[in-house]
Amino acid sequence: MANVFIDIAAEFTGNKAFKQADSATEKLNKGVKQLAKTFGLAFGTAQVVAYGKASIKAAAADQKAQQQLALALKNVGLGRDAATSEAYIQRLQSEFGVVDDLLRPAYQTLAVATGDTAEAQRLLNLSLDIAASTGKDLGTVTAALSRAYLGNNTALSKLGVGISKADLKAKSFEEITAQLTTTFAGSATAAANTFQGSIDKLGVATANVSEIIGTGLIDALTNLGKDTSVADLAANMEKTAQYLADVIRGVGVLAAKLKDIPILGNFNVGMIPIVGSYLELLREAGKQTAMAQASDNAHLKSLQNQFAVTKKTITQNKALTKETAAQLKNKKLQQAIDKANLALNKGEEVFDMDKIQIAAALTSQAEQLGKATSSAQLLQIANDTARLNVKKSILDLEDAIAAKDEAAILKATEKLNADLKILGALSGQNVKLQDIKSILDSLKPKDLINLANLDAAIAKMMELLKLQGTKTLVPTTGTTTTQPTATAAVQGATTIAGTNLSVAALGGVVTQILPNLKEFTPDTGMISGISPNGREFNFTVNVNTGIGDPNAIAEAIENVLVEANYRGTLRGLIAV
Amino acid sequence: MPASVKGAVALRKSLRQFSPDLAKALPKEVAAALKPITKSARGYLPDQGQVLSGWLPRQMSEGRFPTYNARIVKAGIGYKTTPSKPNRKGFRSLARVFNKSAAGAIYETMGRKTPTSRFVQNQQGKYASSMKGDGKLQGRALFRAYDENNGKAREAVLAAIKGAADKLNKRATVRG
Repeated sequence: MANVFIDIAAEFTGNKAFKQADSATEKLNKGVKQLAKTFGLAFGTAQVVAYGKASIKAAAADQKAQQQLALALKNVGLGRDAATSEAYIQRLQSEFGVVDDLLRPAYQTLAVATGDTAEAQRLLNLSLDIAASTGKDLGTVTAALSRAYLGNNTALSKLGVGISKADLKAKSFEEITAQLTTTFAGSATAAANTFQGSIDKLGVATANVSEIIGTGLIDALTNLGKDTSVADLAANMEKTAQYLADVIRGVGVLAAKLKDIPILGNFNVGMIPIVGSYLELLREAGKQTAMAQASDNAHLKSLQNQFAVTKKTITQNKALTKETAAQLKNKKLQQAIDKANLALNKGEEVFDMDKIQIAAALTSQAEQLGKATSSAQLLQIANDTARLNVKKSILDLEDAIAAKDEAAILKATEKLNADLKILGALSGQNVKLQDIKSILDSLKPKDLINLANLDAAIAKMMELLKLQGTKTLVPTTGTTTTQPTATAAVQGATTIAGTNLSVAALGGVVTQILPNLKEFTPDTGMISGISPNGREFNFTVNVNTGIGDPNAIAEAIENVLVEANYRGTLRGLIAV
Repeated sequence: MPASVKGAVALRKSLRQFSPDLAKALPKEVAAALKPITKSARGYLPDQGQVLSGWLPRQMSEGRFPTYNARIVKAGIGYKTTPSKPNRKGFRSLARVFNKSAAGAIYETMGRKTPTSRFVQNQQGKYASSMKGDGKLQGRALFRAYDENNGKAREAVLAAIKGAADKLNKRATVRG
């Protein structure tokens, strides 16, 4: 490969290996510095005060982190595992040299994601291995694992843990974690056993010492400034630190002096006459107070927590019960509304059915009327019919009211009153048979053509003929006999047109009557007469058509005659 | 040996961020300083007709030894004004002239280590160009041109970088 070039100017920037080495050195340096700082090698007042402040801060932060973790676990239903989780974190930090400030958020993330303490602990162990091996921080690794647990493998692929994208897609979370466990097994332990790991462990230990001292300082300073303000508490803290520093200096001077005495080899504060005994007493008192306070605080805190939890549970239960009751009420209301709607629908159907049934009942009563044999039966039928009529009238009135038709309302009201009157009369049992008969007669369907209205029609025709100047209907052939009124009118006609007119008045059965007509009986439709050759004939015309439609009748007759003509059976002069 | 400069990469970033016109002007100034070297280097390359026929491209010449194509070789000489990636020792070049074609590199350096080889012997005396420079900077085209440039290009590049840095500092200290 050609590699001919000249660099005119260049800059030394260092390469990747240099940077890595530099970073590692910086980390180690930082760790050692941190260790030195936390050991508190200087005993000056400012240093003691600063250390005290830092300790208090660390203790407060630790307490806060513990509470947050406990709360998070409780919120995901793992409240009972809070104590074991805290113990697990303490064990991890002493074993792997990772401070609890890092472990708690990581554990919290995993616990919230998995909702299972055992699974969270398994994943945290795996995270520690991966973090130790890859150099990624624990937070990143746990976040990636928790996301992968929830189905998002993107973050896991970015960790560079040696799993291909195809594997990430194809394999389940259990298979992936099993592979990771195999790949990174023992990394955290190996890292903890290095020099850096040892320094980290010491750092953790000193951080814990700082937290413990901070807790003690908080207790002590709280006692000192219990009944005053926070400013007093701060002032007390400074004064105490100053006092402690002076005491430490004094103890140092004293120890130096005592060393000069050949009899006293090892120095013990408790061995100092008088002062030593007082100091021992003071130490014991402080120790007892710390223990008592710790137990009191723990007990009180436990009770307070229990009370708070119980109170919260009761409140939640109450709210839940209230909500459930409201839901039940709404449900009942909805059910009632549904039932009402159903009833209304049914009511409409019933309403229609009523109408249908009334009509059917009226028809049935009319049929029964023809079969009645005794007056009692007649009375019963009359009663039933009257009731049905009343019901029908009521329905009609309701319909009219619904339609807001004033005329229909008035008419229906009038009919209802009449029906009620009839029913009242029947119910009062003051009924004569004639009245009943009249009632029943009113129920009978009226005939369209009967003898009475035929007579009336003929009478009308006669009047018309008179008005036209024709006096009587004259028969054209043969002897005449006494005929019923209708045929008499026909026979009384002087012309064929007049006769036909009269016949039309009878119902329009025949359009033309021949001169040899002898007799026509409208009731039976029979016509008799004498043929042109002198022979008598009788024939009956039955027309199967609707009543009262002249066109239909004429058409039917025409059809019959045309067919007869075609068959050759028709003889005569009937023009069609 | 290239001149070592400190902060030139950072300067380029700063120029891009705070003074884009200077960021554009700096590579142009550097290029103007480098162009004479590449121009004269191309002039030292032999033309197609000058090269011995055995080294020219021919049919069925799929051998591994690179053949000489004057057009490709001349196009392979150029310059670069952007910082490179760090080399093994951690240096990033800020300005570079190069002869990147294989045949060009052969012409450039043939005879450095084996002046008595048959190939070198055949080529010797055929070309007007002779080797100039010392050590690893000895050659017939690019290295010769650089040697004959007498460091003018280097001075110009450094002056351009320094000038850009001064201008940037001047602008940064001006308060309106």
